[in-house]
Amino acid sequence: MTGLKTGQMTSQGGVTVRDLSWGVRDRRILHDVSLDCPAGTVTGLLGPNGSGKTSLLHVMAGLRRPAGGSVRLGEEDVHDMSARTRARRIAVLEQHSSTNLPLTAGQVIELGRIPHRGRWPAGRQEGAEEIAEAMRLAEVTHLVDRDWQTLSGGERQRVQLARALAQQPGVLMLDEPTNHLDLAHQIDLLATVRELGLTVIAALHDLDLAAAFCDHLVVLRDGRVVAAGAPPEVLTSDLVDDVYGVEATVGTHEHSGRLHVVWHDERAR
Amino acid sequence: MLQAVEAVEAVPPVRRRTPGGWVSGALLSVALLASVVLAVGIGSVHVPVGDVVAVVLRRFGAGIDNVTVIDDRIVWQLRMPRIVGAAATGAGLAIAGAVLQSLTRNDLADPYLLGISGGATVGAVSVLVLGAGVAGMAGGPALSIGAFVGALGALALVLTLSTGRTGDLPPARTVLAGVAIGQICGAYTSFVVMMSGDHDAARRVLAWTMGSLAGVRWSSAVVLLVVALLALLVIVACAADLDAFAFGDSSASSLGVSIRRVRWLLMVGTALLTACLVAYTGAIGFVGLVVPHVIRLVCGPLHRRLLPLSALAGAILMIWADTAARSLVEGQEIPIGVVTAVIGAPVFAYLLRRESRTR
Repeated sequence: MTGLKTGQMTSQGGVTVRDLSWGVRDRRILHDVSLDCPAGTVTGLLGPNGSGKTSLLHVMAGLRRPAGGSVRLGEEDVHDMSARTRARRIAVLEQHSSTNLPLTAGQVIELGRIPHRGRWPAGRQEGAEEIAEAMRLAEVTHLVDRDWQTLSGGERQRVQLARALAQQPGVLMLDEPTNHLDLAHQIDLLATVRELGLTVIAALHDLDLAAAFCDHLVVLRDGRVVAAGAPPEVLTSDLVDDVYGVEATVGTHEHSGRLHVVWHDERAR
Repeated sequence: MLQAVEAVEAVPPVRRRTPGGWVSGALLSVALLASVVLAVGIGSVHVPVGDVVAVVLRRFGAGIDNVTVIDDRIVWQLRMPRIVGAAATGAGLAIAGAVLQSLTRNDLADPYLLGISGGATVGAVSVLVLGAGVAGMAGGPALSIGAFVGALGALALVLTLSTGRTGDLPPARTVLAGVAIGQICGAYTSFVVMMSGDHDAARRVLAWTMGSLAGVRWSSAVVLLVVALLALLVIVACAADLDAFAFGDSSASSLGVSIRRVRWLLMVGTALLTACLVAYTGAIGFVGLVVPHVIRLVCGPLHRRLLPLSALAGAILMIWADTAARSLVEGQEIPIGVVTAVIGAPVFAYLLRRESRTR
């Protein structure tokens, strides 16, 4: 178990989680989770299915109220903010988003302006520049008039990213954002997100991608943090064996110099 | 990556043909005004459009004196309140249906989702059958009060059953609670009607459950209009909140919507709106279910358009349904629920068919 760096300085806009616990009815799902996501960095949440990654993201995003502990954004407690204020500062990209409504991609992206808009329409152009910029960053400008229902999985994910960016958040929370994407789109999405300079917290499954695009990794098992730190400190063959129950070699690729994980299993060819 | 983008761009973007909101709004407003003027003229005594306009202008203080007493009575005293009441009821039911469909993400949701029609029928039946013996009890006001109290009772039961520990109203549980209470109300209604052995009462109960605007006078028309306009104002103020529910609860919450508060406010609010309408007109079906779908198919699902346009379309549909109900068969009223279904179903079927061809 790699110890958590406590007492770290949190600059304005960073996310600090302290002793967070949360559960559904009597089942405790998160146990005393503490972690630091410094402003402008990318933090990867790793862990097997059911380890509490999505729950942690939801509690950190303020969508669920914790049973104990706190989540701070800069100096403010996320759960003391009004829903509207929170939505202007934290945007969430869900693992899977579906609707049965006949919306266009442009209309979906425009949903991101809801936290910035008043009750009564204040002219059509509210947020037009922000929306255009969000579409440019997510590379979806050409999709604006397309019907949401006709978009591919990758296009949907990028449209939702544009919607999240239209919220102009300081913090972006991503729940397995690369789930339905092919390799090129996985790399593309994470590279785009990294270049934004936002505080990013992403639940990820792919260990190589996590090592390549994250500044810090936090590993969860059964709702507890079992390791946290820079990718080379966290991603060890012992940890992969311990957390995922898979034998693995962690090495550095000779050309790219990047960390990569090769697993072994006698059932494989 | 570049290739992927080029491949996507090679596909011509599918433009959704949605008419502008202001254009549709203006067209429907003109149609509503025309419907009012035309429908007032229709009936056992035909009143020409010019005379209708003269009567209305005189009533609003314009210096017009060539209006006959008969015309004034027919247009202003008899038909106008009924038409205003119909418009308000249609508008109210349409927006209630639109809101409940969005909040529960259920296409089959209608204004009676929370047991309102069942409860109102229990109240109305109690007055019609059990109160019939008491002198003067079976009249209009008593019926309305009975229906309103019944609707509120059913709403209270549904809310008690479905409100969670945290005060949330989960759509699935709420719909099921509505069904359960509706069944109980139906059983009570059948039991009372069968046991009373009064054929006239049974007939009146049946007529009530299909709705009628025959009893609407100015006093009730004004109440209906105020209630519908107030509800429209509150609900349109929540238009963006309703849009945020497009991708479900979590997404709405992450867009800054206090989902519990909004859902409670709108579900209970639309239920109260529906209870008021039902108390005066009976449970008129179809308008609340179909009108929002038709508007969505034509003008898209965003609520700042959907809600006002649904209100206008609901008002127009109800005016013509009521006009048909009172004038198609000489000397007899057709239940308005029958008319709304006959007009609404084919329009809806046509639009569904068109939609299934294009998508």
